[in-house]
Amino acid sequence: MKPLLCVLVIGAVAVAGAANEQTRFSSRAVVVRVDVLATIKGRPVAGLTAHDFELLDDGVPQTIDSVDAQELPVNAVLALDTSASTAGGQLRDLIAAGGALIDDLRPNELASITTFSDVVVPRVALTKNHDAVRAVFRDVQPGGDTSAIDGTYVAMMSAQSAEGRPLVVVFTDGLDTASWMTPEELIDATRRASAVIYTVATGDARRWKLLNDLADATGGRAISLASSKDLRAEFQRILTEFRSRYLLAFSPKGVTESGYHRLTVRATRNGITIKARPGYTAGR
Amino acid sequence: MILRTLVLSVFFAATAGFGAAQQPRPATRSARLERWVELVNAHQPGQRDAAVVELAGMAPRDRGPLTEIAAEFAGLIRKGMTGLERLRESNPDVERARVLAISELKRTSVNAWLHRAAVLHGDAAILARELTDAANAAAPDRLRSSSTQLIHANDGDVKSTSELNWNLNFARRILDQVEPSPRDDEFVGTWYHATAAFLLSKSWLGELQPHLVRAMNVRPDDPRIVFDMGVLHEAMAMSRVQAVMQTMLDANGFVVVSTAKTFEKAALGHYRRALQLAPGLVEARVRLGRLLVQAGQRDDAVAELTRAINETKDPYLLYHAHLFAARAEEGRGHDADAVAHCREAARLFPGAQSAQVALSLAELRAGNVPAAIAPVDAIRAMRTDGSRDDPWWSYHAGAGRDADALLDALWKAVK
Repeated sequence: MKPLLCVLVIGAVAVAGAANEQTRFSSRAVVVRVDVLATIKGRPVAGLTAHDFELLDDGVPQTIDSVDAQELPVNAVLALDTSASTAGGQLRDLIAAGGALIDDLRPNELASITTFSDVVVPRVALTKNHDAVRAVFRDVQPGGDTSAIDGTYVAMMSAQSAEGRPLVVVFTDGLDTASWMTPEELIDATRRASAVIYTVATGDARRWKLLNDLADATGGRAISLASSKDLRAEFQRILTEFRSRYLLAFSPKGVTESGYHRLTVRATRNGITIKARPGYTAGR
Repeated sequence: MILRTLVLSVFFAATAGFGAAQQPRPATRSARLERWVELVNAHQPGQRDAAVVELAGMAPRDRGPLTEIAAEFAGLIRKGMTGLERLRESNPDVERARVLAISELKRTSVNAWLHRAAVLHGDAAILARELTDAANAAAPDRLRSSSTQLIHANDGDVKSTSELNWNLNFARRILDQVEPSPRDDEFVGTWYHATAAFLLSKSWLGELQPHLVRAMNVRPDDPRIVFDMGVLHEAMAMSRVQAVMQTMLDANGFVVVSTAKTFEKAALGHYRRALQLAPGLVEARVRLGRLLVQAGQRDDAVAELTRAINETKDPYLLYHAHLFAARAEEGRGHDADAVAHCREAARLFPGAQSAQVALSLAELRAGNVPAAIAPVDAIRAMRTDGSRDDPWWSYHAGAGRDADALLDALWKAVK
């Protein structure tokens, strides 16, 4: 059975079904997917199976129904800061980095780009037409304030509409100056959506705690760069690392249906470090 | 995209050049006074005319003497015709000033003259600021007297520094002389409010702070001033200002005196006071509602925002009231109400990005993911040429949105 987009399904069930918020998950096929990075001394570990992982939902051990590695296509969504502060060489480096990531996608993988200044522009919806995505870069002009929070949210939601593994790569060089959403609202939203977020920061953004929080909340990684010249290599590394991850699927049992669920994912073998989102929100 | 700059005050303790005594120009004291009175009478309010250009471009070395002369002249004017006619001065400069004051009072009243003088200097600050900045830059360090530096920032990046505009302070001091007191003169309140609106429209918050501090001192019960003070504090708490403060803190190790929460608390107090003075000030109620949500007082927020929604037909205010109410209702777990408020905001301004973002989030939190994705598609369909009309982007400006109309009304009121 093809795994379903987990939090979406759970959300729908909770809204449709339960009047009692403490109702436990039924035996229907509700599936939660957890994107996991397994490393030994920083290097991804290949060849793991369900037996190599232990997963707890709110402290209750769960049966891992399937482990996918690389079979599912990547939905790569770029959320790129094009505010006034990125003008010049940095924007050129950013465009080159975005293009390099698109070039490394497989033909069956989807890509999307959202740019943000104060204006958030989800320029291209998820598409296999990589040329159309590359064409977006020709129209990008720097200017305006920075709606990084709104831009990240819109990018993340752009990744929700299709099958595949959503990867959101966010680049910014400064703090947010114009968004409607608050940092807390964005973090809450990430618990309700199914995307792994990698954040890449230059300039003042390197000190912005929210970027670390986003990565931690989604099982991604926060990357700080001294120079935009390193963007291209870093974007490509992100994609390579993302492909090395595992997708664990389970049907929650013995836990409440709605609300925030604390997830614990461990390796059963010593020496393996696991990185995964710390939880998800089902229903309300 | 229009480049917007944000001006903040940063106080450098004893690092800017404190001026040595300024050397007067060769012109006599009487000649300076007569020239100044000429400029006051010649100026057309609201016009960047020769009078404005001359005062805006005045070198720092000449400002001190002018300030002294003007203070003396204003004191004379205040004596009124009877007092002036009885006065006899042995000092020829003061006698000349007395005669000039009598001449002016034959044409106009004390307060009308002072209003006109203040508007001239205010206009020099509003219409020709760059000339003053250039004059400051050209002056030798020892003649600079201001210890306050303004930070100009764009998109969170510090771009340049400048000094507080002397013409604005000059204008405030002129208005201090109105009779019986500035507190009793409606024009003074109108001038302060219109000028504050201009400063807000430009995000010149560093200039606005001393302006409103003085305004609150002279007109503490003017709801317009109290409201503007609330807007200033609320703006200081917002991310666009906090980002600059954080940048300065990280780069230069400045101590930040007030946090966002401190500013918000102060703003909340000012809005409450403004509503005590003028319960019909709907925008103060909308802003109060927002700050109550920020403070976690969601029930109170909903009460204020509901009242505001019922009391206004202004789409700008309704847009914000609905968005803030949505946030409050989300916090109370009332998802359907939150979604309804967001839909109404989006209906009022279909091209507003923030309403769509808020709607998407409300639907996501309600567990309706397909409905949460639809607003993203709506944003994708919006124009990307900088013409999007999102009221949230000008929320920080408060009365600044009406700066042009307020200044026009001010200028028309000058006799």
